Amino acid sequence: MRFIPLVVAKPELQMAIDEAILRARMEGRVPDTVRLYAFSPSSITIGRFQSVRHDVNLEEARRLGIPVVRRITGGGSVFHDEFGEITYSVVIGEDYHPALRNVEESYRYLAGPLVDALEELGLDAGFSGLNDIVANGKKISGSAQTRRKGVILQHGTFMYSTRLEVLARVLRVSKAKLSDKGVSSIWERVTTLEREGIKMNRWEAYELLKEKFSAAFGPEEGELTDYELELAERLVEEKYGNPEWNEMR
Amino acid sequence: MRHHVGEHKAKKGLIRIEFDERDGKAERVRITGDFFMHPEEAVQELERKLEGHRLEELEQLIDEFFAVRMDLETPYVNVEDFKIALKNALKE
Repeated sequence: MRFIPLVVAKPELQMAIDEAILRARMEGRVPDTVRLYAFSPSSITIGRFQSVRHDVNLEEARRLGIPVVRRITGGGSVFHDEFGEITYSVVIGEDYHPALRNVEESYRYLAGPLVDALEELGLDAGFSGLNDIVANGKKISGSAQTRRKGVILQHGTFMYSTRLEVLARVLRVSKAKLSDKGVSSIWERVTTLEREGIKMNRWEAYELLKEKFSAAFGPEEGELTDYELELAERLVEEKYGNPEWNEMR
Repeated sequence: MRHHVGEHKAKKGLIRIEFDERDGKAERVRITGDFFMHPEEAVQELERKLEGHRLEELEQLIDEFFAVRMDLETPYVNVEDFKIALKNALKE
């Protein structure tokens, strides 16, 4: 297993790198990989099937200079605050562990280090539903995964000090979804480390997650191959940097 | 022409079905939401399968699609959820 140290970059490149690792791993060119990254500028990613018009407040996002990029994975819209959120991604063969064959178990297995991190900080943390992690009863992390030919890509968020007031302004969350969760606003549903009384900067959050992913998977520090970087560049041009992909729905 | 939109909150994720009704047939079918389905290309295939068909045939077509696609994974979502979203769209 390979660990790729923190990459801070624009959203189209982050999404392209995740897909490039997935493809390279499917072709047997690279080992299983864990990486941590942060978005700059602050960005929104939306799920593979989401409707830009219905699920994002595009005018507000444009006004605030927040780009919107569509992920390869399903799931919902995410606000990645430049100085409030670390994203993790894991690309791993399904045969790495028996838990990975089952979708629900695999979310828990691969995002487990995030729960370990929250518990070390003294928070009451655990999984909720298919792909969320809650701290003191509120969502602090969400993950999404896809599977191609026996390889899983799972990526997700870890909100240490995300500005929830910005999140609430730029994401459109349907009333049906909120009421299904038994809440009437996003405020009652989402939290951050800061909101739970734990102050942390990007590097502290990064080091904590790196330690927990290392303990869980024992990866060796490495770097992206030229093959992955070239593929990622191409994916930025053809896909993630292209309105045809980002605004397709 | 009439635009139809129907939503349904499944156990995981919202499913939204939209289409234009022209001469009793569905056009420009769009299935959106924050659900999961892999392989992802299947959603587009389902949209195409529904396009150009009479509204009363759509439910049956959804059934047929899922019955033959044994490779599909839709965690916490099933064919009934898509049919409820469709019914909600037809109600409009």
